Amino acid sequence: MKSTLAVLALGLFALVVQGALARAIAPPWCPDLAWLVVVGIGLRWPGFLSGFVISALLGFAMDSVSGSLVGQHAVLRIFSYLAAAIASRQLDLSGGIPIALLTLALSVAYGFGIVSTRAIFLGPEPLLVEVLALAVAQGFVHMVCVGPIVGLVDRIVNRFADEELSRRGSLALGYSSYPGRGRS
Amino acid sequence: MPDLLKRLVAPIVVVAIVLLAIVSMVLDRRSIVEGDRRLPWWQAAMLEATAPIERLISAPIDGIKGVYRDYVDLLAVRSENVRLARRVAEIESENMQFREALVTSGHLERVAALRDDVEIPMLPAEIVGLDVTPWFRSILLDRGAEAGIQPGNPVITYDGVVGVVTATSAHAAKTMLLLDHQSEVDALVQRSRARGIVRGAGRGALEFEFFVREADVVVGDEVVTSGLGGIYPKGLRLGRVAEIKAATGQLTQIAVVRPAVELGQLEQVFVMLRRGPTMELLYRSNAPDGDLAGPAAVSSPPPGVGAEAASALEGSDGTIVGSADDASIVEGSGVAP
Repeated sequence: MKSTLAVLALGLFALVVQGALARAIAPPWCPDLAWLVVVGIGLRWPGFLSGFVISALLGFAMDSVSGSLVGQHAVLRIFSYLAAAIASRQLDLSGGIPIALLTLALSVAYGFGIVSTRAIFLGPEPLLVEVLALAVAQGFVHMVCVGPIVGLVDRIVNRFADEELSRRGSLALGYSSYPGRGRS
Repeated sequence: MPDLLKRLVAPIVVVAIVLLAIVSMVLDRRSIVEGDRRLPWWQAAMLEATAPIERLISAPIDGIKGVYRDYVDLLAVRSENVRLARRVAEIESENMQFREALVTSGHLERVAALRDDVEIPMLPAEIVGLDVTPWFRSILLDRGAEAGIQPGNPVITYDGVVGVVTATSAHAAKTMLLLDHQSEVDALVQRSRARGIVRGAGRGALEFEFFVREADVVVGDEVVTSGLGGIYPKGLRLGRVAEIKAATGQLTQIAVVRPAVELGQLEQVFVMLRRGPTMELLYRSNAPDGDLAGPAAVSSPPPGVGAEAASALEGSDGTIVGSADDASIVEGSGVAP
């Protein structure tokens, strides 16, 4: 529980920091730190369901401070989390470069996801090239920033892992609560 | 059976949360269409918590930016001073002409009597946060419903229109910038009165789609709000035409407009707390046989937010402005520069 609260607090703090940071660094060059926390949870978080719920909560929190439709960031953050969680279990993501490349791909997909959902609910959207350019630009920024954020999530997981492992067995969907063990 | 239930918990939670998010989007879309943007309690709470913390974090960033900007400003202050002194002299001269015209036509007292009715109270607000994603262009203000701000209030600076308030909590307000894809403003070209819709293009420019294909517009034309559409008063500056797109294959003509306000550099804005109740009366009076049309038609308007403005009453805190063609604007008192 402590680790869940800690990583949720990290995500919310990132959300507040990035809003202030955007005043100095204009989008798309300003990283979406709260989204990177979600990616970090997908990559490092041992419990599937708790990670899923945290991602959804961070998505709804983002929706409340962003100009998006309520639920838009939530849906896409859930998918980002799922994609990162599946990738971390199916692919060899050891080292910084594979994680950075995965982040770039997820970031571009996220951009297209935003534009697609907005097109469905709100009407015509800008040109494909324009969307791609913005998504790739922010993707590169995310590539640079993902390392430290994943590191922070990792530290939270490890900090509380031993304490929580003593009180809890395996988590929902059969994932071990101990990082790095994979399926139990 | 309990084992089956235990295994089903995760899929049920996953499906429920995804459905919740999708239903939220549908409901939010409906609230936008119906014009009801009251925030649910949890969103209001989130805004309430976010705004003061973002303000705190913004302080050192603003400090560094301020020191740099002050230094840069200092370099140009002498030439700027000379330019402004010259400009003040020009405006004073224009002012005298306007006053003379109003006195001559006997409308000065009536205009002064109307002033209290048409002044729009404006509230200064600090920007504490920006949308970090490039897909939405919105800002977070540090004042909210408690200060009188409501969804639908226009947000401006000295240079022109910034956007519109879309949602408020007690002490914070979300504002959609002109640049956002969802932003649409009924506008006209100041010179030719050609009308159309100014839309956000998501990037640094706006798109002005004219209602007619053969609209009279040239690069450099000033674009202002038309007063129609129910949000923005008439005559607020939106920007300047930077490019005219060839109309081939289009039913209407489109111009690219550079915003009057540097939307990436915003720090403080003014929220117009209401649209003056008698503004429409003033607009109607701008017809050729209207009361105010005569005196105001004598001179060219000064620049600024009141680019449309054609007259000003010297010494008044709030200012009513008559019009040349149909131009009119009412500037509020108290927060006026």
